[in-house]
Amino acid sequence: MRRFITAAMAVLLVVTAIWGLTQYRQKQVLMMEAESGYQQAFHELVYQVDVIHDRTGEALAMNSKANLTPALTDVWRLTSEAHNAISRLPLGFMPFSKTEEFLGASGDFTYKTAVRDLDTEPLSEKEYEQLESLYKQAADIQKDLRSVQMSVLDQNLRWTDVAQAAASGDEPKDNTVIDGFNQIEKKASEFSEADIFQASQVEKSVSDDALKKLKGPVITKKEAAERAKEYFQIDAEVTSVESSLKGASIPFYNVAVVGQNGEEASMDITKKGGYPLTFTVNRTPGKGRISLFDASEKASAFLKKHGFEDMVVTNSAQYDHTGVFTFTKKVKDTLVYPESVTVKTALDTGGITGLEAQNYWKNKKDRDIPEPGLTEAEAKKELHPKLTVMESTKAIVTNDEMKDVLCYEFLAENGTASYRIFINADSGKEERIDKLTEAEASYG
Amino acid sequence: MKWKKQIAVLLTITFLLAAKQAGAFSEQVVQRGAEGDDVIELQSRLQYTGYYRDPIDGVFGWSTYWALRNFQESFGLPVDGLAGGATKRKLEQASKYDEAHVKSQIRKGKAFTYYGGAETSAQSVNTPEGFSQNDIQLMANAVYGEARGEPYEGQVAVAAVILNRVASETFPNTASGVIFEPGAFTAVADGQIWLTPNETAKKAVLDAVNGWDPTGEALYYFNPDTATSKWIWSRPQIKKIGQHIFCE
Repeated sequence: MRRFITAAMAVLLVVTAIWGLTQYRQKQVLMMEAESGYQQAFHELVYQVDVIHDRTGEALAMNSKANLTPALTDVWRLTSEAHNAISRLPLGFMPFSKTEEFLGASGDFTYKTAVRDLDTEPLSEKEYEQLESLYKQAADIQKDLRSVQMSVLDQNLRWTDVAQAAASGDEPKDNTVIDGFNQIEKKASEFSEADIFQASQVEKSVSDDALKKLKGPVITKKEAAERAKEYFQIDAEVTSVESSLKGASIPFYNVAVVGQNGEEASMDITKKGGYPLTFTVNRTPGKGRISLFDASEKASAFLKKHGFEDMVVTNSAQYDHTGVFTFTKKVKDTLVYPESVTVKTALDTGGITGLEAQNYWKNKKDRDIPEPGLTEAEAKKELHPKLTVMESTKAIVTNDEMKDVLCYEFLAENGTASYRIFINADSGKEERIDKLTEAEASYG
Repeated sequence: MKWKKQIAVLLTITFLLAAKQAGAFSEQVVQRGAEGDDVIELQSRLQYTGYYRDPIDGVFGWSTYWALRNFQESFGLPVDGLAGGATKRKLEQASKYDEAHVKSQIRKGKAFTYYGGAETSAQSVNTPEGFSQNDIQLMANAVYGEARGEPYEGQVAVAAVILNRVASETFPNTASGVIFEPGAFTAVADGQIWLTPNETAKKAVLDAVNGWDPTGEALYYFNPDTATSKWIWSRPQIKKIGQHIFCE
């Protein structure tokens, strides 16, 4: 018996040992793979910053526009790749945002200048200075990255150690990699404070100015709650009214309610004037009884009732038993796309279950719609000859350079796909082309 | 007088038949973006008359819209792209519709050519411009892993932060890039992202991709009770929803 136990134990030991060894090997393999991934990303990053530096240096020396555009395009592409490389590194625990902002700002600058026709509008003196500063900043980052790279290679540092330390919660100290990156980040912060990429270069997608100019008396928490209930269209009990925090672009109240059937709803409403910014009612509608068309009429009436004037439906879609509509301001015969809102309607009761109007308030202004320089027929000539135009209208859209421009909007198809194309009504330039998506086959 | 009677009977029969046929379309006006039985019938009838050449998938998309407008133009109807009363009557006169056959084919997910050539696929679904069902699924996983105990608004908010990051120049440019950025989301680090999301999380994601942003363009959020990073406190704070503070 004893012999048997000994033998069994021995076998067990061997099995465990083999199992352990296999596990260890597998872990090693995975660690190696992860490490290679990190190493690849890191060395790519260093290389890309190298090339950004070289290419901006060349661009500074260039006189011919024919060369400048490709050089700027190249830098733009590289900033995007460098960005991608950073996102693959295990640096989530440490602030690396300044460096990323630097890459973002450089990308924006080079994109804007690269897509522009430099023959008609060459680099301004100021832009040339910006390019110079970009060159200098790239040099500094490059130097620091190289020194980190040197120590990584010299001391055989492993990114997986950094990742593991980060995963276990303690921020790794006395680590050359981390120190090096902290150094870079510090320098990048210094750049961003030097007024090189001013607001004119790196604009937020939409400015908050119009939002700040909204007029009206300041409302109380109680008034905010009353107003919110009017929008919800459900008999609800108010659970909380909270003020926004300091970083909000405009002070607002957040009103939260619970309806009689337990449906949660919440709304942001401006303190000044009580304008609705956004709201949703979390209710799953039962089987649809009203059509998408009737629902859009109800949504339209809802907007009119709450002071959104001259809005027309520009998009509609059904998701199960909910209709989602985009409404856009129409001034005479021109659609003003920047002033759009989205409305959700339940298709069982026809009740409004959501409104998103933040961009509308940010872009709302009195607009003088200029007379177009081109006729519609002239603008149409700018389209690809294989396209068949199905619908057309005049529209104001925000272009790549964040300017609102008057365009002719054409809905067109070429037999395989449909497109929405905006042709500048003065210059004939294709400001925007959107391929319109068709429904996706359901795999569910 | 006998022939008059015969005509009356004939007319009655015709009317009855017409009424029976017309009974399939509901009384609703069908517009672009709609889904369901009326759309299946609309596509089938447009296909029968030769105006629609794409699969019958039950979603009123752009190709259905153009087909309907072309039909309206050829038949002297007002060209508005809406299938209202007059348009539906004209369609019923101009085409045949075997509801049982079409639906059984769609259920089977079979390609079939009964309606004049084009193949029919299984049912499709609407997805917001620029997003696939997989994008939405992945985001629902992230939202569920990060915020399943939060109020509905807080779940929409987490999805909105992911989208704000995609749009921001300081983050990767895809939803998957943002979600899997190492260290960005705790749900990714501890594997909770692989829990099966519920309907609420999916709804919250759909709201966010349709444009809802309860955060006021926030890029970060944190739980003030458990946050370990000092740096996160330096960001300008916009709003608190449930356990999370959202910041720029």
